[in-house]
Amino acid sequence: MSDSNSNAPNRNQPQLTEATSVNHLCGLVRNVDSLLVVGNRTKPPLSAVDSNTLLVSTRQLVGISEYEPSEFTFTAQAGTTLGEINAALHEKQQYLPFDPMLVDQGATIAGTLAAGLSGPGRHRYGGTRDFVLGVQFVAGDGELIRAGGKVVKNAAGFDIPKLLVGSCGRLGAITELTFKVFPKPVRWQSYCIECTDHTQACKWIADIARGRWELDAIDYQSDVRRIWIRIGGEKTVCDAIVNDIARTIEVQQIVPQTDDEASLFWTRLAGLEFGGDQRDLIVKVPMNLDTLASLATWCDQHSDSICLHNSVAGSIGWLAIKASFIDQAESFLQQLGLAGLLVRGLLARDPANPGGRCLVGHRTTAPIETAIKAAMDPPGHFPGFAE
Amino acid sequence: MQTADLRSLENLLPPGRLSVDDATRAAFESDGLTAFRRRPLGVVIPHDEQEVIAIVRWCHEHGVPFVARGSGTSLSGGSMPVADGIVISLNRLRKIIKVDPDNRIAVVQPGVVNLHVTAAASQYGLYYAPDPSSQKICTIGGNVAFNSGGAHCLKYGMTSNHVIGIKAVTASGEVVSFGGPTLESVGPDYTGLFCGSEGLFGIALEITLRLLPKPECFHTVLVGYHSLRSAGEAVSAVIDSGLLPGAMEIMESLAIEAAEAATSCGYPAGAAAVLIVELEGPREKIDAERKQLESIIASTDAFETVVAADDQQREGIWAGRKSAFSAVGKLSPDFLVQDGVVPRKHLGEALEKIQAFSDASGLRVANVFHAGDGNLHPLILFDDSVDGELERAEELAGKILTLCIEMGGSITGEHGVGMEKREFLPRMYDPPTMELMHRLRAAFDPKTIANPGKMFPGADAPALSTHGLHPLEKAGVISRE
Repeated sequence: MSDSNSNAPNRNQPQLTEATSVNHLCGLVRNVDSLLVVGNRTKPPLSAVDSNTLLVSTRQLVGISEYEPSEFTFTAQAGTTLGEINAALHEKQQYLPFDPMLVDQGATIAGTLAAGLSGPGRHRYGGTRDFVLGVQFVAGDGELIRAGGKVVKNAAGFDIPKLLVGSCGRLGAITELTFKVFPKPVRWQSYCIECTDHTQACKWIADIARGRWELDAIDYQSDVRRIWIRIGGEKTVCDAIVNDIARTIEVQQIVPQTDDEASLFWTRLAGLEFGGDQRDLIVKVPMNLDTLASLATWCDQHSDSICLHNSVAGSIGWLAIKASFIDQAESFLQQLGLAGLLVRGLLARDPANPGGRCLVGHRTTAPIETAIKAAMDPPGHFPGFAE
Repeated sequence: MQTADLRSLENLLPPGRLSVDDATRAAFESDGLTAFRRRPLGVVIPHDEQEVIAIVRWCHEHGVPFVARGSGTSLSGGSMPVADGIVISLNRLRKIIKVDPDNRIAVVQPGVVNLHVTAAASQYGLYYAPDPSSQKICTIGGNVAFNSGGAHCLKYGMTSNHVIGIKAVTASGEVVSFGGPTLESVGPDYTGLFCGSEGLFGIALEITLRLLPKPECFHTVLVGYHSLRSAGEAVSAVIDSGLLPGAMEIMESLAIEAAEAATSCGYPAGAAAVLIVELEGPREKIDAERKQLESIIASTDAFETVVAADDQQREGIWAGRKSAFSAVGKLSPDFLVQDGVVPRKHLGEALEKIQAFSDASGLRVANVFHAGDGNLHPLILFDDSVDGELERAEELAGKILTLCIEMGGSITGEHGVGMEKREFLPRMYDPPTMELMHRLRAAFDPKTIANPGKMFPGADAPALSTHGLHPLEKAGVISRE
């Protein structure tokens, strides 16, 4: 660390400082040997690094700098909370259709992009990656980069904004983001379908997802074998759609949920509040319907230690895991060829990863990934992913 | 490198893969940007991915530039060959490896034609959303390389929004797998980075595509206006209403007249501009939204409104739109087309300035554009046989691109930078960002052998040739957005 006087980390925990401006952040990136940018730290495992790495918070870099409802775009500083953004969009009856997570917990827009997290609304129009248009960030050499654009369509140059989705701060320090938004439906209606087993659930999810109805969300509570669907529109329209779904997939009853019931369910999911206090690790697992039944059945067999919520019509598994059970869970994910991202709870540190780690399950680093990291961060100021 | 030096490549492959005869090389010397052409040293047509990998590794080992290409429909010169390199034609890699209806994905080889994906998925009620106008012939590999768009980008996004996995061979010969058979992934989105890299990173070998349920209903409305400004205001009214149409397109008078002459599409006579708005979705929602749209259109200065009563009438409306550019192209011996983007709020101002540029240059410009996303397609008409007209046309095109940048937009919405707009990329991005893009390219291609001369300025300009319609446009097989 070149500037060791003010920011010298102690031996146990990484030190945390705050970037007061973009220029300040550029200076820190240039001068500090190892640093990682964080927002409000709503996903602590993503910043589990060793004590030699300085954590730099962007929570002073806040504010929506541009919002053009007629353009379907906004630009916000990295540390702007999703709550502030959602409120501004709501005033104009617009929204981020990918349903960002951890809003009530204070998650920031840059943290959401860096973590690559999308909520159940991802099903209809796409995820975080599909709505980011432009990014300003500090590359590893301290240079401020402006990639992508501020219009809804742009094919000029490499799509660096997308590269940063899921990069967890390892490729650059995001300072500003531009997103596309959509008109928000007047209301949402939620419904539930009870399933007898996971196989039936998988079949129904597949049928519903490829049907003509264009649902906004299709989620599955595997522990109680219940499919949740969400539709945007007036109740009469949504009820008509649901009646047709019931006829088509031959299910006896699709139960409408009250606004309160629906709000409680979707809000708790957005806050990753499920699985109970004992299962305190939350892992995001990209998957599909091919592995849903196997994973759900295995979770049933170990229900005292692990719980699965499947989101986005099979595409995202949210696992709540007892910390003592992580080795077994990781081993099973590896059997299925799945990898995960730990977003809540910390794993025990081990000699190989003294700062902890956020990657779970099957994953290897290809040479090209190392080369891309070197291109984005030539001096190697940002840590890599511990594995 | 001379043609004779390709012998070791020929020995590496089954007989007949490499052609160095003049006729074959000539057939590949240009793409959809017919203004420019250059003859490659040779053309290789691999039959499977192992052959592609072997060819790329040979190129890397010998430092031979290569240009991968599908059907060659690039409008930015993105697949134009280099004189000291080879063309790798991927049309034989045209297998749809898998359609998985439950997970709503398809896995395809790069030479698969865009529309063939929908044809294969259709039996399951699914389709592949990106719809560049050349979708009858353009390939998925090319769509991935140039992040192709289409008329439905506002609602559904571009190609990269529908590509969730890529297996590729990088220009240095490394076989990589990004993403996979699920919508999400862990770690940086390398799939997203690869899309739109214009062939500078390597060659996609297998592409995993996201499929969507086919819209059940379409509600297509054609509206005539006496001024372009009124049509633009109608777009704003639709946007402000909270509707999210699948497509919103505007054509102005010159394009309307040409399209009418070419396709008898029934556009309102005497219109200064027509607006096409298309809603799509389940019938229950469209029934509600069509009333809302009807009320919005009624509140604008429309003088004629046509609602497509059936599929045939809808196809007629779209035939006029999709034929517009080739139809306008027939009004002039030569033309250039741009695809800059401006913020929607600047559409009117941009069109006025383009008209002023046109008046000053003495060249006619016809405008067709994706009004929903501000993607302009000004068509600059000129005659290359008249001294100085080409130069004036290129100067006019440059002014339009500069205007797009000044208004906070982009030099390209869907055609890519290619060879055509490479001098303008540094005007859009500052030196540190350009430098980073060069570093990223070097990560995939340290010898800069993959599609050299595209995206980045500085390479030699190829020879200008005759302008005019692409042969496939003349045949009515493809059209420009």
